[in-house]
Amino acid sequence: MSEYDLTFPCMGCEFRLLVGDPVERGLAPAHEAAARARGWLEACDARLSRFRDDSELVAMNDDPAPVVSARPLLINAVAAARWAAQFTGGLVDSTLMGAIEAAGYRESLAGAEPLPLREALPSAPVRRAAGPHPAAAWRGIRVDREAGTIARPAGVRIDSGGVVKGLAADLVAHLFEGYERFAVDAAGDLAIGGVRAAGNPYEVEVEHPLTGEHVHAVPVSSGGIATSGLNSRMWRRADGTVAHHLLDPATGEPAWTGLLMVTALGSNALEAETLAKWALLSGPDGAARVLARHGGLTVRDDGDMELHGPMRSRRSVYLSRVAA
Amino acid sequence: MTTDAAAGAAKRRRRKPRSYPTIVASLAVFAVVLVLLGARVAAGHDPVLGVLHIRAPRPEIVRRIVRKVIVETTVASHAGGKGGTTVSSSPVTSVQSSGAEPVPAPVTRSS
Repeated sequence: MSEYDLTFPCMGCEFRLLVGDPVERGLAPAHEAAARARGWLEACDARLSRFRDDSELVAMNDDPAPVVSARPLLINAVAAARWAAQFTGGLVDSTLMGAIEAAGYRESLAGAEPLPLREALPSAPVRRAAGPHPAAAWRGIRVDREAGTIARPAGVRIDSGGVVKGLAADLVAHLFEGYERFAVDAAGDLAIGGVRAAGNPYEVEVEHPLTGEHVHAVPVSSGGIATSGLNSRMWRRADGTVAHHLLDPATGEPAWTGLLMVTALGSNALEAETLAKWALLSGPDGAARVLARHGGLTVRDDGDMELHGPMRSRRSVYLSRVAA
Repeated sequence: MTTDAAAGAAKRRRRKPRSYPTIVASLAVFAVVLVLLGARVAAGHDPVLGVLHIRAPRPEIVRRIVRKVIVETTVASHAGGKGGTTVSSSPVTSVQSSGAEPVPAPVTRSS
């Protein structure tokens, strides 16, 4: 089986498309389909980035009107953010734009070297599970697909960054449904499928946040798998404290829950991405409950890994205990 | 009866070998063989390992090129972005592989 492999920068990260040969008649060759998907993903980045003044997301957030018109992509992104908040009881909250900016994440960190996790951990505060914001501003978000409008409470700005990679991977995956197999890798959030993927699944490798080693492999033939972790976007603030991009909605501060990273399986990439964030914010005990249904892998502060739910029974290739 | 008598006389004449000469002869044969083998091993001709310092012939590798890698490097300038930063992006790579040499497995990592 031949496979086309395209890697390119997108959304401040690295995206990768793996596409097998077309099976159904009339489909474009894999390289043409991948080029089309890349163009769509780059447009998605331009339209939904909070770092670009000309994006539709920034235009919506800057608009003081309580109800704004929006194109289908932005409507889908806001609907996904609203769904993620409801699904997780407010832990994956896309209305924390002010808090993330206050934490120091005002500009894109693409290309910036993150603060090493080992350097940050000793000075991190006491570990505790995150909680929802008491105001739950996300409940005030309303999406009307027929009217093509988005309503949100006054002053609430929406950051779709927490869900947009998974959503984009799922949307692009539709382009490859008639191909032998495919993997849309949106910077670690993957949508996988294909006509013949069941007989030839991908062995998705999991990267350890402390060592960078591939410590586990999960066979996936359809659905999503995603990872959320502290190590990719971490910096030191002016006052010397360390910060990262995953906030505890209850405090508006970076969450230190005792978990460094969570990989989650889901029925699609958006669900997997949401489950991974939810589990990480829930801490070690809560993560076990969150991952019980679809399965996942957690990495604690000391580097120890644990498998949860159905992932326990999936064939593991590289599983090993990694010392911190 | 004559035959039986002769056979009986032969049995009586056949004596059991004595143990002392047998042991001495066995030890002597063993010592000789041991000395010979020791000399061979000392000379580097170990009968088990064979002659030392013999390199296994390097197998000839025949490779067919099945991967084509195209690398483009782009510098995207987001002048209109918040803060007006210039972002240097990572390279674009594309690989067409066949089943003979599959592409590397996808990786999930925090992003």
